[in-house]
Amino acid sequence: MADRICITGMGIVSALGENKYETEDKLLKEKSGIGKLVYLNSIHKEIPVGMVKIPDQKLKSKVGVDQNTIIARTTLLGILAAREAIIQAKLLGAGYKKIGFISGTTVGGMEKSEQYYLDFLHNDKHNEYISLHDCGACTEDIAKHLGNFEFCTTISTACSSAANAIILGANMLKLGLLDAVIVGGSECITKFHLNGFNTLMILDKGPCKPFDANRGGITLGEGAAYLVMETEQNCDLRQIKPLCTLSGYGNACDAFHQTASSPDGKGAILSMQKALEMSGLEPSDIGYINAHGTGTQNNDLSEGVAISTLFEKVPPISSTKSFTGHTTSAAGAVETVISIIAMTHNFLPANLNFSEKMEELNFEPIKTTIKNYSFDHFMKNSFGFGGNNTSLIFSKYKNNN
Amino acid sequence: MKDGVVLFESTNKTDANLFLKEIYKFLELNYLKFFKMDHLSKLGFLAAEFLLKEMPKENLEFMNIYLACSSSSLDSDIEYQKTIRDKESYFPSPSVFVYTLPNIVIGEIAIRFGIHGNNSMFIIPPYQKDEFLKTPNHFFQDTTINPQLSGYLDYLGDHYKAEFILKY
Amino acid sequence: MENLILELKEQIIEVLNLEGMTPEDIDENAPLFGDGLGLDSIDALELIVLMEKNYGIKLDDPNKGKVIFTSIKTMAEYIQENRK
Repeated sequence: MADRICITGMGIVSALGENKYETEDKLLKEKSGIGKLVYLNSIHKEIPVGMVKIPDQKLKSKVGVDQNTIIARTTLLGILAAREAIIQAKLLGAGYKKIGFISGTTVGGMEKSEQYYLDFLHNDKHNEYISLHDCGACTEDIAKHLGNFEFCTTISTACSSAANAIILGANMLKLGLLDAVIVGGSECITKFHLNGFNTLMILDKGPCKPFDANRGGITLGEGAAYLVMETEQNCDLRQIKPLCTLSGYGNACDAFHQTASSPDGKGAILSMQKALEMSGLEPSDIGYINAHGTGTQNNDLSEGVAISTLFEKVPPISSTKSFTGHTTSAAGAVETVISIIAMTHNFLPANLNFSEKMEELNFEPIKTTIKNYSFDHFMKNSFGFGGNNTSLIFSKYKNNN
Repeated sequence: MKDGVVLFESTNKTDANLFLKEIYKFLELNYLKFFKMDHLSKLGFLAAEFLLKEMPKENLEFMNIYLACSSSSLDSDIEYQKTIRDKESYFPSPSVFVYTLPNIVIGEIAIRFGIHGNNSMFIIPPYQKDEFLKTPNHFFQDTTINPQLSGYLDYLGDHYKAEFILKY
Repeated sequence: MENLILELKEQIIEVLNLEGMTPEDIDENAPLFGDGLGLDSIDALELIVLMEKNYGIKLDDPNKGKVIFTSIKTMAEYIQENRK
């Protein structure tokens, strides 16, 4: 029997807080992290965003770097989240020789480039920040602060980056190339993509309303989240109890448009089908779907149609982007950690700001948090621009021995 | 070059954009969406065109595409930044913003050939190019026997490169 | 009006990268979207930017654009009425 992929640690930083405990607390209390734009000097002060409410200075203290260290915000968020995961997994004492680090990001150190761009042109005072701009450099910088890695790479597939990092990590474990892998993503808000999404006219003027008939678009967010994954055999050897397992995954091209999803959700149906096939589960086994649910007219319709097509009876579904905002490249991991927290603590997270059902769909999302609700499997959808569709299925850990 | 044979050589040695247009004409393409793409996407699109144009459609539908680049979408990022850097002339361009993601090139190839397989874009330093291209298909866990398009490409200013391999 | 229509055709060809097209190729009454020039949603957004950049007209609601951008003629008429 194939060795199962187990999650032994996880960490998360987002608009909801700086770790799993703060995240769980806000989810249960239905307290969204979406609010005003802070720390970023943008003209779009009126647009709501899901900021991590910790300035760079404080982040540096938390991760233990000197205040004078030249380091990007995306890197700081990444280190904080990855460390939480590593500590929970007791990875440092595991004695592993080959650990991998796979991270999804698009902006890298861009927020510093924006801040110091004019300086770069006119003086040399902040040139050290130039080398941080690169996505790959950002991943390497996070890795450098965590330890020595056998393998380290960056995935950049827009909003499905972190989910694809999880897939690659799982594949490498299955091939026996690594003893353990830290997978996820990190992204901070930048003026560049705030302006960019604004020019695509897909930002909601208020907090996003996923799956609502009157949804107005995306609320951007920032954050980082990582999982530590290893095979069940390794978990047994070092006697660590898994939090859950990654039982299936699938990825597909939508091949419709650079930024819009197909009306029939073809790519989404394919990725969900592949994940189900790998897991050996039926659609009826899925107890919860954490949707990509960005709140745009296009995504929620396309994803909704795909889900309705595949699931005869749509399970409880919500988009927690209504809590954190859309953390873009980190979303696949941020929302996976949120869902694992929910599965472990037996509750269903709400889809905030929902009031009116979409007439094209035959389901509504979860309106308020449902406590004391046990489920064994959840599906996480993560769809990126470029038509990159990824679906992951996680299951409660049940010892087969 | 394909399989070590030079298929097309330009007399123009300086203008990358013109070079890409010449290849488009050489391939006798009639695909107007090409002209809306950014440089990285044009480069990847043309490289894929050379390899895939003769393949039967059924073989392409579930082909996997795994590409890597080094500069990400920096070439387009710079173009986009030009549209937002002046407070007095602040006109962010939506069509340029679309291409400030390195994986859009995969989307363009998928749209062109109707490909729905697995896909991912990696950011790697240039020295890892050969290692990436040699990575066997099963690294990316293709449990069924589908062809795979692997490639390394990069475009920044006047420097560009694309090396694609079709693996069965 | 004639000048504006020609101007618009030239600007659209450039901004939307309509390779190989000349103003003579574009019928000012033909639909811009759908079957006409086959423009898509991103092109529509670029037209909104064009209106603001070249004519000082700001359009906040992309849905309004659907009517205004029916053809070059309707676009020109709207600009004529609203330009700053």
